[in-house]
Amino acid sequence: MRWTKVVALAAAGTLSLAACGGGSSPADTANNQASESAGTGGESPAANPTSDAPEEKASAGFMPDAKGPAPEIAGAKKGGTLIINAAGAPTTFDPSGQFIQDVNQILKQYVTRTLTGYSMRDGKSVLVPDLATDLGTVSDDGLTWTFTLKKGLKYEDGSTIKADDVAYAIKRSFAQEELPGGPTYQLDYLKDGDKYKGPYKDGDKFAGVEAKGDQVIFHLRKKWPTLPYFGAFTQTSPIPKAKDTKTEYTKHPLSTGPYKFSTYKQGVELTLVRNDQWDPKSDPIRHAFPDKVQFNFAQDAPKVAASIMASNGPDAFTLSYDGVDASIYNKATTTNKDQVSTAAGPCVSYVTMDTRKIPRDVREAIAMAWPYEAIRKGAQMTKLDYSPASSIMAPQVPGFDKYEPIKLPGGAVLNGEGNGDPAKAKQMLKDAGKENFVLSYYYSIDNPLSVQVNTVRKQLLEKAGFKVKDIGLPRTEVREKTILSKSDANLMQGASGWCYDWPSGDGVYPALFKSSLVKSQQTYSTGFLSDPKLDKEIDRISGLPVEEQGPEWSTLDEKILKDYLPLLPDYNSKASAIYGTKVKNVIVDPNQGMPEFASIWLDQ
Amino acid sequence: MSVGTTAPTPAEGQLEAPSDADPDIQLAEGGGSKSPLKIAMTRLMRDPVAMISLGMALFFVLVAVFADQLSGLEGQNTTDLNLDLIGDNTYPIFTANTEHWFGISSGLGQDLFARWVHGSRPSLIIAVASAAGVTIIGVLLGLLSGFLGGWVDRIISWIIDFLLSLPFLLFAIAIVPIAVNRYAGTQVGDYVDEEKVATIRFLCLIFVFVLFGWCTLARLIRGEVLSLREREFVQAARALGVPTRVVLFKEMLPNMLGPIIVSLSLAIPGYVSAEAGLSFLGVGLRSPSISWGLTVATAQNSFQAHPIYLWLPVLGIALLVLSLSLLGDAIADAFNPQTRR
Repeated sequence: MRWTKVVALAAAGTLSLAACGGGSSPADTANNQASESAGTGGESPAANPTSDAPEEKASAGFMPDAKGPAPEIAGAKKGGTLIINAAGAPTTFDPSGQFIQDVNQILKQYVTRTLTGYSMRDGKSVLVPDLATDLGTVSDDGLTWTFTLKKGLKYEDGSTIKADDVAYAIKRSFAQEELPGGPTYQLDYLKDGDKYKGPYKDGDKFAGVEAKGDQVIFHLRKKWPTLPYFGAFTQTSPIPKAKDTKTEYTKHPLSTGPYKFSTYKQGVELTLVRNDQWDPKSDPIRHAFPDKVQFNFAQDAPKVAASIMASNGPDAFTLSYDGVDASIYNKATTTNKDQVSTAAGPCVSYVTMDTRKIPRDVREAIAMAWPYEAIRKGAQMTKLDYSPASSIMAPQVPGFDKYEPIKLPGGAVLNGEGNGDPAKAKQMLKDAGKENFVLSYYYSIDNPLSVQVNTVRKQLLEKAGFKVKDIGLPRTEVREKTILSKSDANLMQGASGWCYDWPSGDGVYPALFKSSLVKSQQTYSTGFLSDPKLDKEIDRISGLPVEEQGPEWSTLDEKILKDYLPLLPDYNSKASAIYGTKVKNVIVDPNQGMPEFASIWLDQ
Repeated sequence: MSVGTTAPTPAEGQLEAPSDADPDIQLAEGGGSKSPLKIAMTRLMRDPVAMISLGMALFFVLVAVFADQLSGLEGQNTTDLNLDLIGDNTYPIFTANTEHWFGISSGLGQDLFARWVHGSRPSLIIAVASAAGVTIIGVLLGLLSGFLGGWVDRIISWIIDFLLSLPFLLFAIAIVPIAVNRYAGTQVGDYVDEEKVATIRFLCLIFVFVLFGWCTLARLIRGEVLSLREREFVQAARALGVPTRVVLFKEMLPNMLGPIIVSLSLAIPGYVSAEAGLSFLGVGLRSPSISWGLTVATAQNSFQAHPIYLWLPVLGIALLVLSLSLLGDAIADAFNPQTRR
């Protein structure tokens, strides 16, 4: 998924995160230099988890018995207008053709209901049924998933939601040419998904999905134990065929949620008003407290931040999900602490090392020398933007055991903290007989922050006895070059980080460490590992039932770092929202990296 | 110039020979023989605006010349990172103190005074070098084209027209990567030592400024030559068989000193701001070069929380350009016998 904010940060800080799928420019924040680079999206690496073993109804992080209405919030009041000022300017609101963090959350929380959905329960983000009655039932062979729709659900125009509409919407998400920018997992997993080009080109006949009465049935090409998470993609939100306006649909997606589009100017503003056809009793996720929600896009982030902190007039009812601008950091951490909500985000950033070109002892010296905190300061990241990482996977994923930071034999600790020990690193290089080892990497020359970061990085690595060949290029070229399998660089190649699209390891490790990745010309391979034993282990875990996968992935996570050392975990992203004094109950969903909009109420 | 003197000013529209009314020139006549250059200098010396501007410009020149000594006096250099002085919000924990006179940069903590004094160097060097190059080429080609006429004139005039039709900014942006590839001898994406890139960019800027600057001056000179060529003293010199070279440089050039100096003094501030502007846009100098324009580019994000970072280079550029422009104006006035102030 395009996690716009983190991409922005990463571009400023170290490099661009690669994980997030295709799609056009989501969030070019007007003022923030950093996020300019979010404009050009990397192609979706479309993680290809494979699964061979049988599985059953999953439960890790699942809450299949959740029923509407959503749990009551003490003291919540109805009414008022919530204003949301965003730096990004979404280009589309088409549920089939979007895969962007902010659009996704706006649609899912306010406008379009999906088969399943994430909900915050007791501070944890869990997957609950939304339009469906449960989280799906899978057949014995693991190749057929069935979801049953709740009864009496209606669109904003009063017509009934049918299983046919869900099936049509899923077919519509295959029209990647007409509606570009969506995810591609369904192309990979659903039967005939590789051939079907969507209802506009290939008509309604598609073997991958079927509607039978009030049931939506998925037919798979290969097993997909984490399919219930796909149910939370807006691509499963129903669209009646008769009302499909194709490329015009983005202007007014038919609402199934608590709010509907009132006015929408692309890239400028969006006003949502109540949808009286929405039945709160059927919905375990959403509330609808404000009467109206007003989104203003392409706003100047520092300006918005300053006015929200001041909270005068309508600013008291304003929220921004663009994180905490460094200019208000001191206020946000002291006097105005109550106006900030922060949670872990789904992204982890790495310093990747090409294991084919950098020997193990030098990799350990890099680990010893790496100036994590100096680089983050250079990138002007504050503690509200990141937390130091010590694993490949984001630690909040269900079932993941957060193990102790690894201490390498050479003495370096992989905890993403501190400024390294140049003297020790120099000694390590000397002992290995590899003094002046050449580290080369690409960095973006037309972004002042990235140049600033490079100044720190280069100076401190040289201090540790490395010879640094920093290749400065325009940022678009940096993006192209860093994903080349064959290049002059040996540091920071491949994926510079990963954001999971659903909270499970099968969307992460296969996409980063499988040996098949090294062979392709353009790759997000991290460290360029090619070990058949590792491949086998990844395949084995991907095939396990979902609830058993978590701990296995964390064991593998530790093993990869310890035995292969293809990367240094750098930082976990944090998602923060700031809001005026009258905005209440802002909870950030760590699986989305966005506030749970539907729970917000206003103190009039 | 007669500001501050009691010299009578001729009424407007009165057609008097300047030498009758201007005290400087009267003085010159009294002293026997004074060249137009000397007269202009005398007028300039009496202009307080000119003198203040000159003082200011000299100050910046001294700063640039003694940049190393000045930062040594402060006890800092341009590259050291003072990460311990950067707070959690990535901004410095202080504005300025006795160790860091102008504070430190946000994010990196590099000393801003050291960077400020060193930042005046490229501005001045590029501006003066470009202006000198423009003057030499412009005067030479203007003289030749005007004096020789014929096919030489046609060719030079065509080149001037051609160059004036090219878009300056596009050219400036395009030429740098080409030059880096050409002179660093590599493909796009290969490693080039950044010091080398910095030098190439530095020279490129001068090249672009000269390339686009000389044509206007050459045109001006050509026009002057065309009118001088038919004057008696030139005719006389040619009739006596004085070689062309001598006619050009001994007879005509001294008579064109005025316009040349004026164009030179107005060009320099133009190049100072052009250098800063291009560096700000990312097409001029580049790190590790230190330039005010570059500092402005990095400082603009920190403006609200750490304003001194942005203000000082802006102030530097503004003062330098203002003083050079005012000085240029004063020189133009001093050389123009028609002006009265």
